[in-house]
Amino acid sequence: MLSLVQSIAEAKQKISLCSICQNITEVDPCAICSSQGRDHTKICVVEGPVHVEAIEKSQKYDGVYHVLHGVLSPTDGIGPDNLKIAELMSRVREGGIREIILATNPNMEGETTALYLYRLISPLGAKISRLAVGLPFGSDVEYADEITIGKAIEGRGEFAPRCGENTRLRR
Amino acid sequence: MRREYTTTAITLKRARFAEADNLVTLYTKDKGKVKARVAGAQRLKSKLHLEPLTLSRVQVYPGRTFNTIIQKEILDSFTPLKENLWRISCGLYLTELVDKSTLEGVENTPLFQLLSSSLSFLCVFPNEVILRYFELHLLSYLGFHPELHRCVICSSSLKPQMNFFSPHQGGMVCPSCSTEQAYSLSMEGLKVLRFLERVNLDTALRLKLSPELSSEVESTLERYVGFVLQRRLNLPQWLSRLKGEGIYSP
Repeated sequence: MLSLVQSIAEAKQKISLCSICQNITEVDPCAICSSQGRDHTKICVVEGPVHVEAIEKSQKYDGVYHVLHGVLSPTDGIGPDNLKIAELMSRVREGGIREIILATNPNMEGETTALYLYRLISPLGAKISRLAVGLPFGSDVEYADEITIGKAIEGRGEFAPRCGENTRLRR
Repeated sequence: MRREYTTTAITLKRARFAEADNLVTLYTKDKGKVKARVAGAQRLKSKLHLEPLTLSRVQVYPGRTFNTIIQKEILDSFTPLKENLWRISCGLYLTELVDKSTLEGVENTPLFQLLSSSLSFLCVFPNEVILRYFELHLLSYLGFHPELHRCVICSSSLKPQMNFFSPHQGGMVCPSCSTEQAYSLSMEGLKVLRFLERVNLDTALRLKLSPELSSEVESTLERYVGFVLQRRLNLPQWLSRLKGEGIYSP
């Protein structure tokens, strides 16, 4: 019991937010922000620290992140001042950012946040992209809902498999 | 005995519930406001996920604690509404108004039709007049239709001059009966309210208002809605913020 209490107290002492990406970390800046092997001109904007973990597991992204710690929810009174949007904007204004990937969830709050960020970031000139929405791997078209199928059709990519390589979609 | 029922509904709100469920607030055509649990809605392969601002045909099983959504079919997801920040915010304002002004299980089919048609019109004409029309007719359907033709205190006809609107009295007040709780309303502002009162939504959209007149009508209705609901609404503040930041692009 005592060790649990000690662990919680230790976690509270050691864990803070990275001054660059706002992700939770034990060292500031965090391992991703201080890594020389990552593309610092590409920022993936996510809702929370768990989403950083999920994207890292895919091993398909080599850029850096920005954690908003929530999403805009006007119905619940959560506005831009409650999120780490000002910090993101100062990173973008500093320059040197080529692409911003808006990786908020594909739901009402996530879309509202993405639309709001688009309006703020687009005048600054960086390329803005959004995570693709479509059918999850291993699912069945028959059981997918109408919105997901519609988005999957809209965002379809050219099917260009190469011999001897993994089949992939090229957009 | 068959307990489950099928109805047409607009999703007003969605909240996370338990491990992987959602709790949705629906405004239905036949049963008014209904809260229901959507089991497993957060799972990737769930087919029952219901997003706010969606018109669906749902099958509901009434339970002791919670109603449960058994099946759903999307009829209209109001896609153009969800592709623009201003439109999405206007849509959310209408759903917030309905959610905060109605009680569960009280049927109000005209209100359902008003909400459904207003959301459809917002997809095509994201005009603020739709919001004012909705506020005025929502109040009427709830039994709080404002008196716009006579003084609510002395019953005299209103003269073409600066009159007053009293949220406490539920309508217009002539200058001689005016109290501290009444706010001035120009004749043009009054004419706009009377026009919105008598025409259908299609005709109301022909109205072109100057920014000053639009703001006068907006504040009059906002005060009255606030007085009737006696609840704080979150969306008016958000819409003002968007306007202030120049994010107003119908």
